[in-house]
Amino acid sequence: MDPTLLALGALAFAGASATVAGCAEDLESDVGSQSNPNSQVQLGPQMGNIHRYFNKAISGEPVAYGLYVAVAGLIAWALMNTGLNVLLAIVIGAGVAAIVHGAYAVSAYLGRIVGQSKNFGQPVYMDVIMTHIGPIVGHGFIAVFCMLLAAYLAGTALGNPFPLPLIALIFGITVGSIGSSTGDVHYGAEREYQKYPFGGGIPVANQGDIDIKAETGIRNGMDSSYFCSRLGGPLTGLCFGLIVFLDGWRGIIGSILGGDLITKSAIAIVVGIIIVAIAAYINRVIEVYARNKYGPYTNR
Amino acid sequence: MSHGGGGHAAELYPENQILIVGVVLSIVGMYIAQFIPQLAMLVGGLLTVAATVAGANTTRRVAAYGLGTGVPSIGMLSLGMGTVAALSGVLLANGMVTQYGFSNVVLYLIPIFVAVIAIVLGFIVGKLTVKPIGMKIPIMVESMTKLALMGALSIMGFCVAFAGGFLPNVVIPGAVNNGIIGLAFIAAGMAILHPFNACLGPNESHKRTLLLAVACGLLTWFIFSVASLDVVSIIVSAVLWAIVYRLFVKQSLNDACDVLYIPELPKKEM
Amino acid sequence: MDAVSLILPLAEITVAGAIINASVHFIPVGGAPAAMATSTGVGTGTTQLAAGAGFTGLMAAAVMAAQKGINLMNPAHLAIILLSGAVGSMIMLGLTMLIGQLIYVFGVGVVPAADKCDKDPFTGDYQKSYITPGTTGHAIPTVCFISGLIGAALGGIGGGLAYIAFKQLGFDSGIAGIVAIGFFFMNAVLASYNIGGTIEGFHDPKFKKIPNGIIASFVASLVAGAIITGMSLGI
Repeated sequence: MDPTLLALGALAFAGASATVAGCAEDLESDVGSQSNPNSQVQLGPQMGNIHRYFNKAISGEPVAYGLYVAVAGLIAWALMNTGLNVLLAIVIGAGVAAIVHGAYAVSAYLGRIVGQSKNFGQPVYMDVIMTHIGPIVGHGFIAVFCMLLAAYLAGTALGNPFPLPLIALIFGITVGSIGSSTGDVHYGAEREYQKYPFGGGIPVANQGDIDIKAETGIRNGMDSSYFCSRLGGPLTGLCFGLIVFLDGWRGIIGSILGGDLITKSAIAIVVGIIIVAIAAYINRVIEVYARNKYGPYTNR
Repeated sequence: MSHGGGGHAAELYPENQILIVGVVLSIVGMYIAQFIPQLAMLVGGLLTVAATVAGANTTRRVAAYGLGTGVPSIGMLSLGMGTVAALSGVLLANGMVTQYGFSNVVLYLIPIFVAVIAIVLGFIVGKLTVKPIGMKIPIMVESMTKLALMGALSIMGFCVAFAGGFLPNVVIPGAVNNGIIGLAFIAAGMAILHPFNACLGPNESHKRTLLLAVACGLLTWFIFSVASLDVVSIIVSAVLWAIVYRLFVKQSLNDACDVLYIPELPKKEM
Repeated sequence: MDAVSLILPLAEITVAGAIINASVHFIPVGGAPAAMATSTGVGTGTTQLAAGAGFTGLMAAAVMAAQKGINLMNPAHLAIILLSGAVGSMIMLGLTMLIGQLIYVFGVGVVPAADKCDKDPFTGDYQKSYITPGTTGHAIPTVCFISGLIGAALGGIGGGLAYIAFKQLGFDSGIAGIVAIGFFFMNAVLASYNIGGTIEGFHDPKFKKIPNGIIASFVASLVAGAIITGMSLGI
C-alpha cells in the first residue's frame, strides 16, 4: 500500500483516539475535581461550605496523566516484548494504570479531607468514595487506553524516534495540560459557582463559596460531570484531537507536495504557520463577538 | 494549585534521620541488585522505596512554607535534576574508564558518583532560586540539595532494579534506551511529591504523610515489578502495599472529625 | 571527540536553557485563579502548560530529526528542525488557547479582558471596562494570544535545540529525549518560581523580571550542560 496513505490513516486513527481521550480525561477530572478548580473545593469548608465533592488532589493533571499513561505504556511495552497481542497488551497496561489511579485518588481524597477535617468540621463521606471511584477509574481507563493507542501509532506508523514508554509519558503530560487548561474552566468558573448569575468571572471575595446544592439534593462530582459533558468535555476532546491531527497532517501535506527534504519540511512549516494564523484570527473573531454581545460594565 | 502552607506539625522522626536511612538503604539496594541480579527487583526495588520516602519527607518540610506555584513544581524540578545526575553518574564513570584509562573499580562507585553529582547540581540550582530568582524560603538551598539527591537515588534505584545492575553495559540498554527511565522519572516524582500534596492542610499529621509516602513508594515498586514480570516481586510488593495503604486509610478515618456513610450535611451550629 | 564538537553542543544547551526560561515568561497563565475566570490567561499552572507545549514541539523536532537524510551538522537542516519544533508548539498552544477562549465566552459568558494594560496594543480595544468587578481580568485577549504564540515558538525552539545538542553529543534518541524532558522541567520550574505563579504576557509588569530568570537558567544550564557534555565521553 502507498506509505503516505497508510500514514494518513494512522494519523486519522490517532486523532480520533486522542479526541476520545481528551473528552474522557476532562470528564474524569470533573468527577474527581482535580487540578486548578480543586482549589475551590479545598477552600469550601474554610468558608463554611461543607461539601460532598470528591477532592482528588493528585498533583496537576499533566503530571498525573503523565504517570498513568507512562505506567500503561511501560507495562504494555514489556508485555509486547513477550509476544503478547498488541491490543491485549495495551488493555492490560491501561488496567494496571487504572489500579494506580484508583489508589492515588482515594489517598488524595482521604488526605485532603482529613487534613482540614477537625478545624472546619468537614466529615469524610465513605459513600462519596465508593460511588465516585468507579467513574473516576473508568473514565481514566478510557483516556489512558486511547492515549496509549495514539502513542503506539505515533511510534510505529508516524516516525516518532522515542521508545513507547517515553512517547506515552509525553502524550500523557500533553493531554493533562490541555485538559486542565480548557475543559476545567467550564467546571471551575461555571459549574462550581452556578448560584451566581451567568456571565462574569468569580471575584476573589467569593472564592470558596462553592455550590453545595445540586439540581436535586446535595451536589456531588457526578452531577458536575453530567453538566460539563455538554461543553467542556467535548471541546477538550476536540482540542486534543485537532492538535494531534493537524500537527501530523501538515507533515503529510509537505511530503505529498514537496520534492526534496528541505522543500517538504518548509511546506510543512508554512502550513503550520497558516494553521496558527487561522487560530489567532478565530480567537479575535470570538473576542469581538463577546465584546459586542456582552458589552462593558457601565455601572461603576 | 497554589495553596501551600499548612503549618509545621510536629515531626515524628527528625528529617535528617529519615534522609540518612533513605540514602544508605537505597545505595545498599543498588549494590545488592548489582551483585545478586536475581534479587534485583525484590530487594533493590524494596530498598529504593526508602529513597522516595525520604524525598517525600523533605518535600513536606520545604513545601509547608508555601512555594507560590504548588507542591508539584518542586517535585518536577528535583526529578529533572535527578535524571541528569543519574545518567551522568553512569556515563561519567564509563567515560573515565574508556577514555582516560581509570581502572574498572571506578565503575563500582557509580551509585556514589550519582549521589555526589546530584548534591552538587541541587546545591547550585538551590542557590540560583534564592539569588537571582529570590525565593524567600530559609531552607531552600538545603532542601533543593536533598531533593535532588533523593530524586537521583530513586530514579537510579528503580532503573538499576529493573535492569539488574548499575554497570553502564547493563543499565544503559536495560533501562535507559528503552525509556524505562521516563517512567522512573514520573513515578518516583509522584511518590515524592504526592504524599504531602495529598495530606496538606491545617490538620496534617506527620504520621499520615509518612504512611502515605511508604504506600506510594511501595506502589511505585509494584509498577516496576509488573513491568519486569517478576512474579515474586509483584506479590510481595502488592501485599506490602495493601498492608500500608490499609493502615493509612484506618489512620485517616481515625483522625477525621466524622465519618458518614449517607448523603447528609452536618447541621451548622449557629 | 575534538574540542569543537564538545563546545558547540555545550553552548547550544546553555542557550537552550535560557530560551526555555524566557519562553515561559511569554505564555499567559493565570494559574488556579484563571480556572475561575478570576485572572487573565489560560487556567492552569505555568510549568505544566509550558511543558505541554514544549514537549509537543520537542516531539515535532524529534520526528523531523529522525527523518532520513537529515544531517545534524548542516545549518539548513538545523533550522528546519528548530522551526518544526516551534510550529509544533505554536499549534498546540494556539489551539489550546482558542478552545479555552470558546469555553470562557460560551460556557462562562465573560468578555476577554487583560488587566495589566488599558488598551490592547494590537487591536486598540479598551480593556478595563470589560473586567468583572473584583477580578483581575479573564480569558485570552489578543495581546495575550500573540504573547502566548511567541512563548510557544521559543519553547519549541529551546526544547528542539536542547534535543539537537544531545543528539550531536552522540546520545541515542531515548536518552536524548528523557534528558531533554528533565532539562526542560528544570528550566521551566525556575522560570515559574521567577514569575511566582501567574503572568499575562509581555505587557505584564512581572515580565520585567525576565533577566533574573534567564540568568538563573543560563547558569543552571551551563552546569547541567557541562555535566551532560562530560557524560557524552562515556557513551
